[in-house]
Amino acid sequence: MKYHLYPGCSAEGSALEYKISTLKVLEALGAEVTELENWTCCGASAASVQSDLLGVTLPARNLALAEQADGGGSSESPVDMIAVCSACYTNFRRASQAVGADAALLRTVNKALEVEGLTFHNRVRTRHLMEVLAVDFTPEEIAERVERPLTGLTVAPYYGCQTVRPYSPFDDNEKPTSMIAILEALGAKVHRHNRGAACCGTSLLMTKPRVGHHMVGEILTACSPADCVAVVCPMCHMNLDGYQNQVSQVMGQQLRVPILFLPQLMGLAFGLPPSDLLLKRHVVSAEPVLMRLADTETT
Amino acid sequence: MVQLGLTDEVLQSKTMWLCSLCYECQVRCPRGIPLTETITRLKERAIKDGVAKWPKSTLFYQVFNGVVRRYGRMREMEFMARYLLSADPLGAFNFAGLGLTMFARGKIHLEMPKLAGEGRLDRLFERVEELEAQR
Repeated sequence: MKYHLYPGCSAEGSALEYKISTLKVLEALGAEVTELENWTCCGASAASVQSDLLGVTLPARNLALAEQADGGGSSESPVDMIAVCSACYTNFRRASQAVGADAALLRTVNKALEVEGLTFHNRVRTRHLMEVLAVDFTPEEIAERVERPLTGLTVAPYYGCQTVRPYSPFDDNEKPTSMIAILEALGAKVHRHNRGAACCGTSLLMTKPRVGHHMVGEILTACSPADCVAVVCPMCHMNLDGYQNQVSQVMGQQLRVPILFLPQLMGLAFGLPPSDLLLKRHVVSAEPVLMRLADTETT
Repeated sequence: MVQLGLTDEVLQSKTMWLCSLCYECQVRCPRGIPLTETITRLKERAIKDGVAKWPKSTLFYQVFNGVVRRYGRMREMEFMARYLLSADPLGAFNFAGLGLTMFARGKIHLEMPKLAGEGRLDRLFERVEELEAQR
């Protein structure tokens, strides 16, 4: 299977471990992945607040690059582009839907893209990494690749809001389940809870910290019986991993749960070298997870 | 409320600045009203009208877009420093610990800001502004 990968600003920066582990895991699964070159920010939550047109043009620029990398816009077949960040994913899907419903908007966007020497034909199918892992590979195919099963490890899946809302064609908007079969294929035990599609608070952690801490607190409390949380968005990771001290104060209980990216857990189970998974970059140490796995290996 | 002519009350309210774009209201709305999109348009209108009641929230978007315009991509360290220092210099101390930990883990790194010369997306932003004015 062939994919173009749009890493996005966070996975190229603070969440580099997410991009690296994603590339390694997809490679291990036999996928052919090409990173997009010369990409720019998708606009995040900010561009569309400044201007409606900017909020469509910034993602469209990258979608046009994916078409170009796929041999131009002439072919009829869709171009599969993976987004690993749920906000990027939402912006790309939103832009595709907007220009698909409004031919005049597509013409205006292309007038803007002239200054970048690009034309957008709207034939990119943006797919979240979660979808690719859950739909394009069967749990059996994933299990076949496992060399060091995550036996004895209890994992709480956390999807985040924009992974499954509003565009998800692959999972339930409010009660997602797509991670469960993957985690079980890795040999882990799944901690079921009802905050899997709750919002991590995004920028509220910076603009309205009291509100944001509470949102994170509810998620961490629901996940805390597990040994770790598996996430598929760099923004979710930053919020769940970065503020656990303040969140513990707000919630009146000590919360300390390692937050790992799903491909990091897959890489561990696949027996990939630790240097491919960059497990030491998190604020809350992932060491207890490694120790738990070491325990079960020796017993 | 906007349809009833209560625009000022809406634009001064805190509601839209508490929206985290989680789309829960939009997917649940039985009448299919694009509520999340509506909130985004209200934020745009409030910033364009210069409503200054919630500076921490409006600055967040303005500083973010400024960094993207200049570099083409988000520079997390520069954004956080610019935002915190302009929006809430005292509150910035609350983030100092996280910043140092992230720095120690190699999650963020120092880059020299480039303040002179053309920004990476200046031309695209300018073209979008021209086209938006014609719409």
